[in-house]
Amino acid sequence: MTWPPSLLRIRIVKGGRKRVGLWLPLLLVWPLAVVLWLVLLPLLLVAAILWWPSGRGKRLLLAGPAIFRVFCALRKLSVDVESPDSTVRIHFW
Amino acid sequence: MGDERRRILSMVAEGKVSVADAERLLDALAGRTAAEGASGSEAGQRPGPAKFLRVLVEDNAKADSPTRVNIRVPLQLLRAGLKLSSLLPQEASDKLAGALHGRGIDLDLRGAKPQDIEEMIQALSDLTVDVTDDKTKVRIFCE
Repeated sequence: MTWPPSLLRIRIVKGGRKRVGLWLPLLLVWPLAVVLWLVLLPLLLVAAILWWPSGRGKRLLLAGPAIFRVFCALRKLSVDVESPDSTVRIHFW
Repeated sequence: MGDERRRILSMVAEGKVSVADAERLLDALAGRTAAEGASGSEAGQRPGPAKFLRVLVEDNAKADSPTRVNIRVPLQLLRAGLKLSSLLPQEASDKLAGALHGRGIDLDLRGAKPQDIEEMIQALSDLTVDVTDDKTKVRIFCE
């Protein structure tokens, strides 16, 4: 099983000055996300039942796990861009 | 290599991949085969499955301070993203395909099944793109 990323680092430097330097411990966001998901789950189920005849209900139900898989797959994603006047680094661990 | 070639051709026959995309994949496959032959790599020494798509760009237009791009995308992310895109409503998929077409990318994933996505990712892991000119180097490969 692939676990969700536990740390996000964003660093943006523009014109030699650091604009954004963020170490975000996503590990601490997981419990909040789980609580939010539990709160939204009944609403999602009701929406899925209502939209089932139009075919969107099934998509709505499948979208949750699919979005979670995308989030998990972000682990080890890294983007580094260095130009003469700016630097952007985004890393997921 | 025969298997990969056959897989690409069968994807064309089934309409999963456009002829232009298949041509690019076959070219990349042929280039890799030639490179392997030239370097005399031993058969059976194939590394494990690729896990990341790497994009490296180095632009030396300004000689003293080059621009560098280094992107590492987990193939798992591509896989998950493609599966998520297959859940998009028809109207959204149509708009997406139209927008990509407008940018010269004829990639239509409507109706792609999980098995097709897996085959595409496997074919992608054999892809290597090397573009070099006087001031710019672009490398796209899987590792």
